[in-house]
Amino acid sequence: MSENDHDDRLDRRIRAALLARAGERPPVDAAWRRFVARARRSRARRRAGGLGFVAALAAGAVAFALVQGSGPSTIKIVTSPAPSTSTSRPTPSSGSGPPPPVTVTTVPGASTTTGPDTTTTTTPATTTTTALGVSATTVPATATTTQGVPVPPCPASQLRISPEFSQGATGNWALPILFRNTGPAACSLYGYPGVSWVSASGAQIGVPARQVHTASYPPRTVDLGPGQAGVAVVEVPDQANQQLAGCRSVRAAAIRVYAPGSTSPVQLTPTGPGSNALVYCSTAAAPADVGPVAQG
Amino acid sequence: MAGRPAPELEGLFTQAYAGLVRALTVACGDREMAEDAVMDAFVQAHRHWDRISSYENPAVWVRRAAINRLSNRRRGLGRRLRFLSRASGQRPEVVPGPSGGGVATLLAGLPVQQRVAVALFYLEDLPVAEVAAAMGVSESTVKTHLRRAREHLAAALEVSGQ
Repeated sequence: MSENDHDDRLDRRIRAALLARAGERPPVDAAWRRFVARARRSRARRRAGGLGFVAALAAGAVAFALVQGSGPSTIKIVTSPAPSTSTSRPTPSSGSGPPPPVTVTTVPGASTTTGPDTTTTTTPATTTTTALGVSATTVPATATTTQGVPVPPCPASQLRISPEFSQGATGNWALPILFRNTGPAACSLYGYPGVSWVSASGAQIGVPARQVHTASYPPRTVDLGPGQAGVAVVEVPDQANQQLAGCRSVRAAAIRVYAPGSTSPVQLTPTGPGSNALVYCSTAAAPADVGPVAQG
Repeated sequence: MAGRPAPELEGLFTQAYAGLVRALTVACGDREMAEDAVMDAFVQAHRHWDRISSYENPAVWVRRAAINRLSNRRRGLGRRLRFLSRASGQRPEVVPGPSGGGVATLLAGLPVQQRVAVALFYLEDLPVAEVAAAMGVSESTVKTHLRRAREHLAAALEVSGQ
């Protein structure tokens, strides 16, 4: 194995880790409205000349007075970002009352990319087969965690699955897929997601992504606290490579993703550069690869 | 002319704002500070849009401005802290943020310049040349930052066993 391969793999690993840990992008709409308001104000202030300076002085004086008057309270500076609470989403209460019902319900807005064909399995502890032909066990969801050591598996309803994009190695598109715990309690993921390409009618294109087993990044149990995300990287041969392999390349309508252990898929439609990963080989000649879900 | 931003500026904002905030949040460890810096940079861009819109890639200018704001603010923050602690006769208490085990842990120990390079290169997926332009340093400096950061991160990811 060449040094370059190693560097590429490390780079992908670092990128995936950062993506999973970096938190979500802030919503643009609200920011744009704030920006427009500020852009207007900044023009107005310039017209008002030196008034801004006077205002700043006054604000400084007030701040000083507040500090003086605040008595023995300590000054607290929070050094790292607050969890992004900007997405308004109904969260189940995590109070000390009776635990929420065990049935898995799809929280509105929780998985924004869920396609219309998504059905949520409510059967407890059934073993079913996912798109990959891998046996997957659905464990009844327990939304609240007792303080015990084993963290329950993440129920599908508690995961928001979203695509990221990155350029990947030469000849491939890398598509990191984030699995974010939107629930109120910690949950865990283990193993590989099921990933396949589907047409607008929902028919599968080519073969599902192959699971890549490497000694350096084996599957591990990934514990996700509320708001934390795990990440699995999908690598898709680009169109040139698909054609080299003798494929007929088809542009898929979506990428269907099963979280590890889940039987309810979501459909992802990456936009921007990530949309390149929708072009897929219609035969088994150039399949994509997918790694295990890793902690960010 | 009520100061309504130009459509091109709106396009740039929509395309660049969120990603830049996320990257700078990782670089400085404070979401609010990053948001302020990026917002300030865009307000500045709006003010000088006649000039900046003629640049080949206005996004480069905005990134550069936001990073400048951020480093000025970090220096300012240190001064303000010292001032406040003198004024109140208290030592400022630094409270670790709530995202333990997150990106802060991974990047702990990296100098700020390396964090900025890492955030722009890995999170924003910018080529080295654009990272260099955003940071106002040479490409070889960026490569050095990235090489050192890579060594650190390789070890950190190895240790965490993930």
